[in-house]
Amino acid sequence: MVSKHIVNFLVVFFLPALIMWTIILISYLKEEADE
Amino acid sequence: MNNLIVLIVFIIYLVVLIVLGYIADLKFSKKFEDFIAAGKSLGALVTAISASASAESAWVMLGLSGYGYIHGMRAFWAALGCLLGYFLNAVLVIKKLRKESGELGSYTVSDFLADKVGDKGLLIRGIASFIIIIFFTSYVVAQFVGSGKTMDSMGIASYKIGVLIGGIIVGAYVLLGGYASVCWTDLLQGLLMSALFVILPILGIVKAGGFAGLSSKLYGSGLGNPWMDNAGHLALGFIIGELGISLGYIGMPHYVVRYITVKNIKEAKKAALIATTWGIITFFGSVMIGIIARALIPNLSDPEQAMPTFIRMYTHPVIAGIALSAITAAIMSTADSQLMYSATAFANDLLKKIFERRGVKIEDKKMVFIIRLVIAVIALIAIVLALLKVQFIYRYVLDYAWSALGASFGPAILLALHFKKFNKWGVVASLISGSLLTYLWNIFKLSNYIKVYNLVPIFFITLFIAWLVAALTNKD
Repeated sequence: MVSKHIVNFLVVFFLPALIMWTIILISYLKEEADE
Repeated sequence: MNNLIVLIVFIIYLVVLIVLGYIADLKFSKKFEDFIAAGKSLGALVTAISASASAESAWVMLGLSGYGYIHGMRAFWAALGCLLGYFLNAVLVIKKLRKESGELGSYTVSDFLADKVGDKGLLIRGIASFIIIIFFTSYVVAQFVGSGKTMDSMGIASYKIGVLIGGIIVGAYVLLGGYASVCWTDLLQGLLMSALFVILPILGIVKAGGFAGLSSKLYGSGLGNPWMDNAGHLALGFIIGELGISLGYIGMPHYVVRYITVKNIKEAKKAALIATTWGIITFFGSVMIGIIARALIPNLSDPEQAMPTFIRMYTHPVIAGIALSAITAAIMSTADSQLMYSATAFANDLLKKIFERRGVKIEDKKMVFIIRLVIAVIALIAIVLALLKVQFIYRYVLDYAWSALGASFGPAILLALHFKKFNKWGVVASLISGSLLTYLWNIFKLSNYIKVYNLVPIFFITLFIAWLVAALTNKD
């Protein structure tokens, strides 16, 4: 039951949040490197 | 004794806000541009945290945690919707907006829209200022209502005294230091909010007996399933609606303006990353506290009181004092930004332009006096309105102010940044269509028939109308 709740949380919030954060980070680092 | 400790911590916090306002007054109240934009000198950290704290009102403290209390895991969709708003701004808006507004010399969103499409008159600035003043004043009222409700529920002061404390303190430091004091106090308030959203969930999970204890307390309630509604059907409309909250961030003037006034493009990009990090902590924490409160205090009559009640029952008075400061911080950081932005819209976008068109040059000292007068009047009106009636924060803010502002300014900003043929009439169409459709949607109660958060359809209809009008009226 606990693991099911944690999986739900990961899928609904944590993974999408991590993906968005990583995309912004990569875009920031890429432009820093270009400069 | 406990209440006394809470009160002392809270008073220290209020004094710090006034001191920050005073320091900003010493540094940024000589020139008008300094007073309304801190001389475009703010760095990434202040920009990111102050923008985020100003976007997240009493709703993120009381409304979103209350949402977690009612819907359980489904409330994470709303949290994700908010975060998606930060992401969309980072990807589509921030860099281009800072670059182009810097080249055009714009200080506000209305300024940028008018300058970008070459409107030297008052058409765009007039309509935009009218929308901003109407909706932001009502938004500020909702924040002061939140201040009264919070202090009342924490046992610190009656509702009316709570409204007065919130209103007078915010009014005072905005009057003192203008935009700089708004941003500096918002930085402090934003950090306080995120600290609370780290401490409280940890404390709550321990009190609930760990994850296993929390799960067992919620077992059978259906709150652990984010995909289905209470009737066991797929909650697709609900999910789309919650993710649709994100669209409001694109055009929210008091949020977006931070990225117009940030020091440079490099700092703007850094700020986008910091803001998203802050958002992840804050939205997660708020929903989590609501879920924990549901497990520990299952019979609350008002879900918006989930967080204050949890704090009162389960935390040490010093943490309760910090928590009260943090909840009030969320309220104040939104109210101050909207108060400042409404006054700027009136004094900079309208009055200053009218004077310029008549060839009248008003010295900086007088303009600062005028904008301070406008701030005082708007604050006073908002305090009186808040004293007269209690509003239900969640639906009130999201249904009217958030939707109307998001649907009016969002499409206009997106098209101004990404559609080369966008023109004056496209901006006007966006501003009018977004506000008008939101008003009609609520008048005809279309939410009874279309079960999606109204901002989603209204935003895309407005985007289409604004694009069409610009394409049809373009003479190139």
